[in-house]
Formats: sequence, C-alpha cells, structure tokens
Amino acid sequence: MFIDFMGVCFDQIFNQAAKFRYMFGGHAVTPVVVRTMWGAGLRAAAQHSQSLLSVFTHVPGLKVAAPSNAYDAKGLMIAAIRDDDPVIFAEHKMLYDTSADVPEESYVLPFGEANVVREGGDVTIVAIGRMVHTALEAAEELAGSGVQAEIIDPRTTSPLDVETILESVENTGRLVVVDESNPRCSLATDVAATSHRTRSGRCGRESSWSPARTPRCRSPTPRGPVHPGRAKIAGAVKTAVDYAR
Amino acid sequence: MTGTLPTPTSQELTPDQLLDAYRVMRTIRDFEERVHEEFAGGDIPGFVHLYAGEEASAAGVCAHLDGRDAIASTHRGHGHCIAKGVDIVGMMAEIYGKSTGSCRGKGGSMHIADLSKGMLGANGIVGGGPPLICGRALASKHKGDGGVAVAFFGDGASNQGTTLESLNLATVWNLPAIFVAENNGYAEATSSSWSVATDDIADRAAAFGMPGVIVDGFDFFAVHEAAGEAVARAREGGGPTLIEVKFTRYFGHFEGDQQLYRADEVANAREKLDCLKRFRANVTSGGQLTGTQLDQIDSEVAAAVDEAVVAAKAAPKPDAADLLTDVYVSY
Amino acid sequence: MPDEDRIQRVTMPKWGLSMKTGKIVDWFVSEGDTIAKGDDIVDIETDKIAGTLESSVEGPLRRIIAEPGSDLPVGAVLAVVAPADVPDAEIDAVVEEAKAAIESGALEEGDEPEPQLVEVGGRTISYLSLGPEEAGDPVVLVHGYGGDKNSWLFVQQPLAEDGHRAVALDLPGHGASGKDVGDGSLQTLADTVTGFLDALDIGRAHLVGHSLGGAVIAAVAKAAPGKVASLTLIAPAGFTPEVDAEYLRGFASASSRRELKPLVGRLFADEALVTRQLVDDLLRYKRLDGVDKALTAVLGTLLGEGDRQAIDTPAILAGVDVPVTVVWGESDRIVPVPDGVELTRVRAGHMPQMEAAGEVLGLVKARL
Repeated sequence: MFIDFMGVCFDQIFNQAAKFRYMFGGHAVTPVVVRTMWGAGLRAAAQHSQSLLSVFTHVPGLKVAAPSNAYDAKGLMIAAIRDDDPVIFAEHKMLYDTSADVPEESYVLPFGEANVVREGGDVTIVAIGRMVHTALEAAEELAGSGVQAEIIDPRTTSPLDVETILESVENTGRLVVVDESNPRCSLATDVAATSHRTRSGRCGRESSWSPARTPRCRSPTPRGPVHPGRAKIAGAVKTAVDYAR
Repeated sequence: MTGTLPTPTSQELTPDQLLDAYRVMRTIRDFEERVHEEFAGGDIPGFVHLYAGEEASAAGVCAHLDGRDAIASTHRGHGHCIAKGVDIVGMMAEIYGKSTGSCRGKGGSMHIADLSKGMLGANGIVGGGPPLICGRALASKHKGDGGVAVAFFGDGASNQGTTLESLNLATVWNLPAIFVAENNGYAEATSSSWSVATDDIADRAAAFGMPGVIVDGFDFFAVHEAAGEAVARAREGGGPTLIEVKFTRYFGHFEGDQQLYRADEVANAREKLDCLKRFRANVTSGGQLTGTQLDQIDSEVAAAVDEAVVAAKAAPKPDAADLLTDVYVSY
Repeated sequence: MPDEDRIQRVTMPKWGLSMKTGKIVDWFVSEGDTIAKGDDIVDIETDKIAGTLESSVEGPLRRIIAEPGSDLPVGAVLAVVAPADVPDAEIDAVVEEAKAAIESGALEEGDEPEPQLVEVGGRTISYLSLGPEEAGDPVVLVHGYGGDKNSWLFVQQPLAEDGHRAVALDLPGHGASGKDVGDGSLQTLADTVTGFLDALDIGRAHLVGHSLGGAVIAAVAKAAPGKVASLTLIAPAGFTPEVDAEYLRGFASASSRRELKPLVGRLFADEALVTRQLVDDLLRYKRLDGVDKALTAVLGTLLGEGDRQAIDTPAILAGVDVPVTVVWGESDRIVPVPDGVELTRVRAGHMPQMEAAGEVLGLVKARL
C-alpha cells in the first residue's frame, strides 16, 4: 500500500517490529517484510505522493530497500524475505511498468551494496528509485557537454553503502544527491553530510568539495518546480562542476 | 451477550491447582511489594508500574494456558510474566537493568519478555499488545497447533484504535484470541468512568460479534471460570472472547505517582476485597487447603523474592558495547 | 568479374548472443591501406567486452564509413574494401546504401538464436547451437571454471558463419544450467559432457575446452575416444602444478563488483578488456541460488594439497588416440605456460579465445 498510509501502523513498525530484538536482549527475530509504494508521479495529491524513505531509514531495527529496476527488485525481495530483520520494501510506483532482464532462478542481492549504475570521473550523482532513471537521462545530456557523471544507486538506505559513495566522491570531488523527498533530514542531507564528514578526514582536497542537493523546497505534493527532473539535476551538476573547477 | 457470571467456588479445582494458583498470586504480590520498596532505594532505572491488587487476573487466566499459548502484556507486566512462568530471578535482574536479566538488561520493567515461555513482552505502548496476539493467534490457527493467544490490556488501551481493530480482526479471522481488559479504574490519572464511552468495556464485545463478560477481578475463581470458558471456545475454533476484569491497583500508575486523582480507595480494597485474602478464606473454609499449607508457600515465596533481589543487585550491568548489539540480526 | 562482386564489406560482428550494437573505438588502418585476412583493423566495444576485429577480407581499404565513437548495429557496414580499379562512384554507392541501412533501423531486427535446455543425467543443461546441423562433426565448446557459453562469443559465431555447427554448453553449476554439480568432480563434469553429446545425438565431435573445460574434454576423450574427433585445449587445467589459487578462491567467494573486478582482470593480458558489464554479468551469475555451493565443490576438484592443481591432464591423455591441439596465452597469470608441451603460444592472458580469438579460431578450424 501507499507509503503515505504507513501512519496508521507506525506503532507496529516502529515500536514493536523494529524493537523486539533489542528490547528482548537478542532473544527475538522479526522476519517481516512490509511492501509499500512510494514516490511522486501519479498526480495523486498530498496523501498518495510522498517519499518517506528517510522516516523508516531513521529507525534502528528496520532495514529499507528501494529498488530502481526489476532485476534489483527480485534480488532485494528474496534477500528481504530471507532476512530475519524487519524490512520496509519500498517500490516506486512509477517503476512498475519498467522491465529488465530477470533470471528465472532465485538470487539474492545483498543489502548495503550500492550499484554503480554509470561510471564517470567528473561528478558523483547519488540517486535512488525512479530518480536513478532521471539521473541517467541527465547524465547523458551532461555527457554532451563533456561532463561525465558517475551515478550511484544505493539500493538500500538502511544499511547504506557509504563506502562506495565515498570512493566515488573521492575520485570526482563533487557530489549531487537526487532525492524526491523533502529536503530536511532526507537521503540528500544524510548522504551529503556523511560524505562531507568522512571526506574531511580522508581527503585533502577539501576546497574542491561541493555537495549539492535537489530539491530545495518543501511540499506534500512533489511536482513540477519542487520535483527533481532531468534539467534540474543537470543544473545542479553544472553548479557543482563550476564551483569546484 | 454481556453478563456477570455466578460466583464459582474452589470446589472445581484440585488441591494442587489451588496451591499453584496461590503460589502465583503470592509471588506476584511479594515481587511487586518488594520492587516498590527497592525502587525507593534509587537503584532501579526507568519507569516501573506495579501489578499488586490485580493478581487474580493474571493467575486466573494463565492457569488455563500451556506451552502452546502466548500472552501479550502491558506496561504493568510483571504479574503476567510471573503467571506465564517467567523466572523471577531473571525478571528482577531485568528490572534492575542487569546483564543477567531476562532480556540482558536491555528491556527493563516495561519490556520483560520470555518468548520461550510464550510471554511476548510487557509493552511500553498502550494498546500495543492486541495486534500482536492477533498475529500470534493467526499463526496458531494456520499451524493448527491448538494454541491460544491472550492480550492483557488496560481500560486506557480499550479506547485505542489498535485494540478495537484487533477485536474486529479477531472475529473476522475467527481467531483463537482472548482479550482481557484489566479495568483498574484509571488510565494513568484519567478515570475510566470518564474516558470509556460505554458503561462497561465488555459492552463493546457485541459490536465485534464476540462474547463479552465482566468478572470481579478480586475473585480468582470468577476470573478462572470465565477464562476457562473463553480458552475452551478458542481452542475449539469458536473464536475470540472479551473479558473485562474489574479491580483496583494498589499502587500508583507508576512508582512516584502522587495519585492526587483518586481518593483512598486502596485501603478499602486491601482490607475487604483483596484477592489473596479471599482466596485463602475460600479454600480454607471449604476444606481443600489448610492455612499451614498457604503459610508454607508464603515463606517460600518470600525467600525466593529475596534471593532474586540479592542476585539482581550483585549482577553485572551490561557493557556500553551492548548498546550496539541485537539491533539487527545482521547489518 | 563485375565490380559489385569485387567490392567487399567489413561489417559489425556479432560477439555473443546479447550483442545488438558495437561502438567503434579506433581504426588501426587508414583509407588507402591494403589489408590482409587476419589483420587487426578496428577496436570495437560492446556492453560486454572490448575486442579487436580481425579482417576476414583482403585488398585495398577504399572507404571507412564508421566514425570512431559511433554506436552501430550488428551487420552494419563499417568499411569498404575493393581493388583500386573499382570506380569511386561505385564505392560511393555502397557507402550510401550502407548508411541508409543503418538509418532505416532494419539491421536491428531479426530472429535471435535462443539457448535451449536438455536434461542430462538428471541435470538441466543450457546450450546454444549455431550453424547447420547437417554439417559434419560439430564443434562442441566447453568453458572453464566460473565461465559459461558466452566465453565463446568471438569463436562460435564465426564458426557457424563458416558453415560449421558450433555448440556451446554451460557445465553443471554454470551459466543457465542447473546448479547441482553433485560431487563436482572432473568425472561428473566429463560424464555430463558425454551425456550431452548423446542427448543431442552427436555421434562424434571436435571438442574445444578452455581451462577447466580443457581437462573436462580430456576426460571425455579418455572415457569415450570414439566420440571425439579432436581436442583443442585452450590454457587447459592440469598441465602444471602451479595455479593462481588466490584467483580461484577469490572468484569462488567474491560477492561484490569491488572484489570481483580485480580478480577478473587477472584473466586478461589487457585488463582494459574487462568491462563493467562483464563483471556485472559474472556477479549476476554468482548471486544465483546454488552457485556458491557449485563453485565451492568444483574448487575442490581444481585445487589440491598445497594449493597445487589437483588434476593431471597429461596423465588423463596418456594413451588416448585423438588429435590434440594445445594453445596458451603467453601472459597467462592463472595457469602458467607449461614447459615441454607442444603448444601454440598466442598474445593473450588466460582467455586466448577472447584476446586472440582469430588465432584460436584458426587452430580450431585446422582440425575440422
């Protein structure tokens, strides 16, 4: 069901499922998978359009997966089902109609392993769910003007593959996070902050460091000007590239 | 379907069953009185909510349960734990936040659990238990293991959406579930006569298509009989029951509660209604047990609770590193 | 001879089942050069692998159509070769026709050969058969440890185009075959290949095996010499005690691109050949249920005491009366080139069928 509806079962998810193992001193497992639909795009107004991944990512005890394609969806779902921890499995509503080569056989895509969707040396774009596709479109456009973007799809936000993001950022020196959710306490702010903090300790090129985030506005109906599209991503990348040229 | 049952007597239980029931109630009472004293000493962390006065409910219901069955509890969960067979040494250590506790000191009073005993945890969330036992009852139904699941919850939780949704689901799914509303008159400081829309919580059962009964919570035998019928019905596939147990809690909502919201109704209850006193009178006047037998249990329980406290105080605290363990199975 | 018949076209090759297009990286020849068959003429990159196209035609290179950087469908004409006396106007006409064909999109359609499944000894074996079934003894291609039928992408299609039947299979535990390898022994794998020949009614075949596959087909020849017309062993297992055990173990245990990529690089003399897609495809395979177990079992067949090769292929071949060709990459870092063995050295790492496909193809054809 829509991730917006999770409000009616927050307690069962946040205080019960997520906490059993810890509260009971490791004597419990909670092997539950909660499938939910997220993201903007259906023009379905304020209660059917949100991207609340960060809300669940915030809660210790929960794992959060948000596949960007059918192959990842199958591997992550099998991983989620076999996982003994509670998993929020967030399926972007605009990706149901996409297709990919998917093996008939069962396979597991481990949680916490980001996918480098596109390689490039000029800027790192971190995007998840539908935004991976939008970022790819932006990257193709940018390639035309000589900017090679590396696109990282974290695939799971909890656990998050910080290492792969940092490796890329250390190489490019520039980070753009594309996030459909509202900007405060979001994947965007989290990835930007995490990368910046660790980068300060690991890399001497501080002056060339330029995190940029999209979107910039708060709205319960993320559309149009408050939704990251190809042009906005490309614009953010250009800003980052110009900043740290 | 709501009604008050005739007062049953001790005649229907064997002497061994009576001794067991008395031991459970006495253990709960001693345990809670002792935690009350110890809490004042300042060594017990967090919040503690005591069950003293309500013993007949946990004991009367759990007397019908076995290893197939599970219970979900409340923030006032010590009595339910003891009645379901959780070891009081581990419980006391847990309340003290020690690494030897039932939950390695990571749950404390409000989250004592022993899944191996079918005790699904005390619960810090009012109305947290009923959804859990719907899940457990559904599992038992699918497995066909004959198990029954019982949610204990208070008059406050009886107004929560989770409880009302659970009552509905239990009937829709025809679950082997029993809902025990422990109405002690107050949700924290809010009187149930003000906050519950119906005269009795049991009245709500009709709205969910299940039997609802009201029992005198100071009378072990009344609870025992009502629970016996509910458990038998659930095991046979007859669906859920709502039992409202009415009584008074002897201590405040939590340890430290000044209880400015209620007159001194506790003294009267302790004096005239107390479940242990009534039980003793009932079984000794009927001749099933002697006062000496019960005195013997009293002294054994006192020693056991004392040992639990000594052990809890001596036990090590968890390490700081334990804050980071058991959050996930793997991460 | 009419001019039209004297004009030869260099076309985008089809390297592997899934190849739809290829990207022109760089030409090694210029207009006006005279090229010979087998010359390296152009580097082409697919989403799977980068490779060098060797010329199948000879003569003056009159025109290069495909610009470096362009992405073109399989079959697209890349360059035109014709004797000097063919008029420019005729060359121009061929170029226009080629461009029109690319723009029309007609090249991108067409029936793809599909892999098929067959039951062998209770195991499901996936294979791809190319070329005419009635054409003599077929060539059967057997990949190495962790590989699959796509290992032969530069070899199988050219064999078929040359009129031979070429069949590539996935060994048990590999590719799209069932993941049960039983005890994972050489005997089990060889029995499967023998059973596969029977299942496809192939009475006799030219067997080509790479690495572990080399040892497997040697065992097939030992057990059933009558079914084997010839053996072509490409960097076969079991010729030296030495082997890169770290590679084998690492490959068996790797679960991420980060772990896998450097290992796969060791397979090639030129590590630049390892594309993201190649590594991703390996990862996809490795994630399948049962692969871990299969690779671990077969690892026990390859590695013996002290991390030395457990298989002795020359011992298996002793007394087997079948023509044998051995080819080895001179830069092989997985199994070193053995001394005292009659073999052809090629410029390659452990994957001559990819890095020196033309020479391998020549050696295979020489047995047909």
